[in-house]
Amino acid sequence: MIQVTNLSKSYFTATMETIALDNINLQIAKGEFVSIMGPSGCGKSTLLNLMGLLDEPTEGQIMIDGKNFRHKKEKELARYRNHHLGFIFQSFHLIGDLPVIDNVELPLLYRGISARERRKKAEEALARVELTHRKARYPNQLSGGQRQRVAIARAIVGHPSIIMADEPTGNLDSVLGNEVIRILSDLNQRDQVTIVMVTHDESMARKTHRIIRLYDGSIVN
Amino acid sequence: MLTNYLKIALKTFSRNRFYTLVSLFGISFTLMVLMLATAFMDNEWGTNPPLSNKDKLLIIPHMDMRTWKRESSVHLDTIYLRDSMIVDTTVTEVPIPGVQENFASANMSYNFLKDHISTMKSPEIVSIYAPQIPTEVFPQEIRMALSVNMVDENYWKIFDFDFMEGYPHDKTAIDNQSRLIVLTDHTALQYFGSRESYLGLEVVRGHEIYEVIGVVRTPNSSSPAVRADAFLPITLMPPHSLKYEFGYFGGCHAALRAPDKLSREAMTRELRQIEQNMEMVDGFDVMNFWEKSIADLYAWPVLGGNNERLGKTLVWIVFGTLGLFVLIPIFNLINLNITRILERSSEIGVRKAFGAHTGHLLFQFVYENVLLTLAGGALGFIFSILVMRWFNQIEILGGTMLEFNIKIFLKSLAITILFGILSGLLPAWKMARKEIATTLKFNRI
Repeated sequence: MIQVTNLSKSYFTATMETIALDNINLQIAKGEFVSIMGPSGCGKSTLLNLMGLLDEPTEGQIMIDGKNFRHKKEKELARYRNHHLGFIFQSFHLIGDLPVIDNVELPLLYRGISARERRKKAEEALARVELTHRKARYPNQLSGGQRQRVAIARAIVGHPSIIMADEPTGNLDSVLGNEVIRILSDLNQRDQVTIVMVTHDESMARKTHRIIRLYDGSIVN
Repeated sequence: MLTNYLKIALKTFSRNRFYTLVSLFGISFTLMVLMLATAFMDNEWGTNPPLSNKDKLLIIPHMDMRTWKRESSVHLDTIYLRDSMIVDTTVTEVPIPGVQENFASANMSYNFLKDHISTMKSPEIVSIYAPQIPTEVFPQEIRMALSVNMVDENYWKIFDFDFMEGYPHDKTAIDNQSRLIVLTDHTALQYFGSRESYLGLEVVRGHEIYEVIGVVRTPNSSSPAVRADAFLPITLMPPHSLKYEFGYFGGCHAALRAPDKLSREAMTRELRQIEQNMEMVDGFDVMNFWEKSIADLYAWPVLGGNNERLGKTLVWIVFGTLGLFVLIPIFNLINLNITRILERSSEIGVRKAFGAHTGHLLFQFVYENVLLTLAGGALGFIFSILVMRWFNQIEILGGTMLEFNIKIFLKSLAITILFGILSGLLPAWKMARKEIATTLKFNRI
């Protein structure tokens, strides 16, 4: 489903080049739940951003479902992300000025569907993460675990085929972290959603199908 | 989607109250000044009665006559006759064009205008009038100063005054020097008090009595061509006021109306021909009409330029100044908006991650800014009405009453929306173009 070929990413300043990723090659099959692990600064989040079409590689290509996304226009990438990708972030990145239900609805705003249908789908997604009773609250009125569950609801509301999760348990304790992994595993098993998760936590990573280890911008296993 | 944007906009405004108040004050004050300026310019330069035909009009308020310096040459002829020498001296004076010796300028005489301007071919109609003659009347023995326009019958055809009752002077009244007066409604109210009708009432000036035949709505324009308290037949002016017995000068103006806007220049050309072909009197060599459009008349006391037409220059200066006046708060708002949007980098990154493209974000931020600007515009509108009423009450503009009509409102609304778009577009564009990975590094809840 996801095929990464000779992928490299460098950052340039006036005086130097920093290589974040160096010639990465990997494949992730449909329905796989994969962890990416490595020390800080090894390029995990960079790889996730590239696979999630949130950034443009310096070299190489990314193919998702047979489609090559190198040099695609912004609108095309945005549309693909909206319909096929979901994102979960370590810092949740909820919009504090909107109540929970509006946060969950966010991806559907850009699909051109009616307000009624958006609301229905958002409530279904919230029910999946067992937060229907909190839909009118604002993010600052929720615990960390609840916020991350709202973020998961937002990520799945559009029924994406792939979820990119960047350290989803990074800001949570082990109990809440396990709860998040349980929800993600459930999504993966029941809905066959492909999940790519960046994590520091070995115990969380062992609950996934496969672990990809990065070191200094390269895959080491 | 708009509801989502509206919720976010209202939350953002209430979260940053200081910023919101500063923005609202800046917007409302700027727009108030703009709305007042638009109302003022519409009054003065708009095609409103009695100047609905202003684009077809030329006014000749003044002319000048000049004498060139003379260069003398002496020619000596010597004749020898019967052993005597006779010297014949011939002195020739030749004018030096462009080197001025004498200059005189004034209004024109009634007869001159009648003989040479009323007979012009290019205007559709010509009026001879004398504007703003000061006079005094004493209703109930209280002094009341009036500014009177002495007019002919064509004056009422060129300037479309709104007659609230009665009728204007006709040719018979003018030719017969009839003591018939037209008043403005303000003057009628001041002189007679509140009445249902003023027709047939009498205005006393010294030993003269004038019957009121018409009442017109007081013009809002300050143009001397139409700004007066009362109107009398020009033929009632004393002879020395109509003709100075020197040059072609006198106390009159002329108003010329072209058949259409484009023919106005033809009138100018014909005036030049009249100048060239005119027989000079009283030692003058050349003459020059100071013809002006309504806008030129307005610019004359402001920018000077006696013989120049500076109406367009004044308009450019006014619009340029207003433009600068608007640009400064726009730049300030742009700065404020950049700061405000920077705080929302995380939100921008999340929206883009979940499928928003630059166009979506531009729309959202410009929408928010237009909302804020409309709120500021509404406040500015209220302030404008209040300030306008106050200006009219204290007659700060010398009797010119500002009015707020649907045209002004729509122009002000357009300016408000443009203001909102311009001050929101650049900051929104800057932020919407940032890379998603970069914006997601800014963290806020």
